[in-house]
Amino acid sequence: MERFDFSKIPPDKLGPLMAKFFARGPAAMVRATPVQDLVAQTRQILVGETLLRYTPTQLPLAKWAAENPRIMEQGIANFGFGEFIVRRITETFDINRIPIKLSPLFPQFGKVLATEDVLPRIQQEIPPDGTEIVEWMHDATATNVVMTARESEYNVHSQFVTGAGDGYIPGVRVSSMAFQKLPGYHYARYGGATVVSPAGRTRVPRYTMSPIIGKDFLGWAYAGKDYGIQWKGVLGQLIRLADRITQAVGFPNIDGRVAPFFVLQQPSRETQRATVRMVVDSNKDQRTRIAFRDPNDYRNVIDEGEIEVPRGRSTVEFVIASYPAVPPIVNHMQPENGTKTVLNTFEVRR
Amino acid sequence: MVLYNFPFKMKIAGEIVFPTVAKLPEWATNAAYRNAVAMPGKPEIKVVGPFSESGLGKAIGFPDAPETMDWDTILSWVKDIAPIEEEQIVEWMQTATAANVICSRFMDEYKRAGSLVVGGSGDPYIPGVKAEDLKFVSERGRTVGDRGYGVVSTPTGNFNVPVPGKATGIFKNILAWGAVLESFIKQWTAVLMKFRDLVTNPQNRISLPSFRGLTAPIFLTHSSSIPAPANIAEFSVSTNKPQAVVLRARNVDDYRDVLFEDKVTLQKGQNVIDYPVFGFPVVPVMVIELAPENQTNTILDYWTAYP
Repeated sequence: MERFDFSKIPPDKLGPLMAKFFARGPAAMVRATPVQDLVAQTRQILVGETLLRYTPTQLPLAKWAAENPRIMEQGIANFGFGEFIVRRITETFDINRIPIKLSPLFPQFGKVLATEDVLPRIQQEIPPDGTEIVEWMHDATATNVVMTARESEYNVHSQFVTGAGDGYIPGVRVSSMAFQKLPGYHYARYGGATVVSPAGRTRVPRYTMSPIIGKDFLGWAYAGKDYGIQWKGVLGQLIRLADRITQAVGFPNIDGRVAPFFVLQQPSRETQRATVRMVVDSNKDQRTRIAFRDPNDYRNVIDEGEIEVPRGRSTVEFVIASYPAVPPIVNHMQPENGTKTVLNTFEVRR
Repeated sequence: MVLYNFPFKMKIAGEIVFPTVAKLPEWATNAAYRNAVAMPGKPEIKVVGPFSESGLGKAIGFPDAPETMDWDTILSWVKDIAPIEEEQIVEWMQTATAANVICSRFMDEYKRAGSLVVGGSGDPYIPGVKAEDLKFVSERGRTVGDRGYGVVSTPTGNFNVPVPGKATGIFKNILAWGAVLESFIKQWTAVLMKFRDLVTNPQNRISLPSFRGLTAPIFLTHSSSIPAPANIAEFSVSTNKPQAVVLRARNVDDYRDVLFEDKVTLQKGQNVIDYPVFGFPVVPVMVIELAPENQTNTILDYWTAYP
């Protein structure tokens, strides 16, 4: 530091610098406005013997709630919800009339909610040859068709990342979670795989969709079919929760297992009573479970309920209330397996 | 709340974009400094120690992978644990696994420095390769091989990656890097990385990933604590062989705008560089790109901005 006088620019540099400064055209004068945003500080946690660094799932908390500890503590303790009122709009479930997105990776396969609807087409168009194309790749591709479409739908509102492939090699990883590398033979023998995430080591049984929920982390994992040494693994991680849904977001259906969905349920202003309104499409009658999770620790379930969703399009409304005010809550929805479900809107009205 | 150059999420021409963001100090919001320019002085370079790979990150998901940057060692480990004789293993999977070990370690090191890069390797034909909103266009290996390049699609434009070869994708608000390692008739192996949240003046070691000799650049934010017309960037780079590293300073408001470009010649070992930067009216907050030569193992030990 002492070797350098910061107060002066060397004379031979000053002229060229000034010339450069004044030569910059009007385009360079147009500068982006700095923006304030949430702090996405990297956190770390010891998982077994591994120090895992991760970015937590962020909540876009409203200022009125985030800056009032009474709402974030007493409001959560006093939270309650009313009866689910379901009104059917139409009995028809027609995927072509629901504005879900195409996969950005494989748009040629059209609108797909479930892997079973696209897998036969991939197998037919790209048959296995034993030297370059092998079976698990079809399965992983079908999953990617579904997952990348769901990812782009959620990303209209916030951010969700996914990954699918062979859990042995090349391995499956998303931003802050990964499947532990395990040969398919062992996977089949043990009946499951292990996910390393900020929630610790979670065992994911074969053909099971497992929510991965940590204190400050939300995601899920699915372990699918095994093909000798290979097996299919799928991961989803919520980077930042959406606080409303205004365009259709499908629930991924992988081998018939439906992934959970997380959204931040928060009124736009401070209030003691609000109404949650959703518009849902379902291909069959089903029961959707809802868990209301604590925004201070996602592992804590404050309350839970079950909605009878009929086939077709329906609106679902329910009242939420609390004192001193309705707090922001993580709404965790879990449709039944074997269903095709789309959430068209989700809003909290004061 | 923290100040960033771009929002977490943007909508540009109807497309959702998750930009590469850089953290800004409070002083950078001053309108008087918003069009500042910069140029480098003559650096002083000292070799202070031998090249060492100690203190690097862990590859999550591959806890038993060899702790080295050496491509051949990692690939040979993959070939041992997943030989082609296995019915479902084909060649591109081994290459992609070795690349994933390196990507995973790089992501961990970048996170350790308090920021975020995402990436991975696979076959872009099927099952596909993506990193957040960036993706390789799904085409057959022969198509990209004959044409000579694969295409990375981003919400703000495309960039081409030679087959085999590497390319950096620089857009107004996205920084990315892609490489194609090999191509067959249907399959090909590619690596894609996106810098999501740039690290500011990192103080931990970050290895610059190298895949089959194709070395990726690193991007970081140079940010002084107060506005000053002269800064010294003191940084240390370890390299396993002599090389000239290209250093580019980019505008934080538009990454395509290069404020200056320089070459720093390094000897084998750990090189500590005192790098003067002059600015008018002050040295702005800049995004630094350090691009090493191919076939090298390079580690950024730290980067400090004075004052």
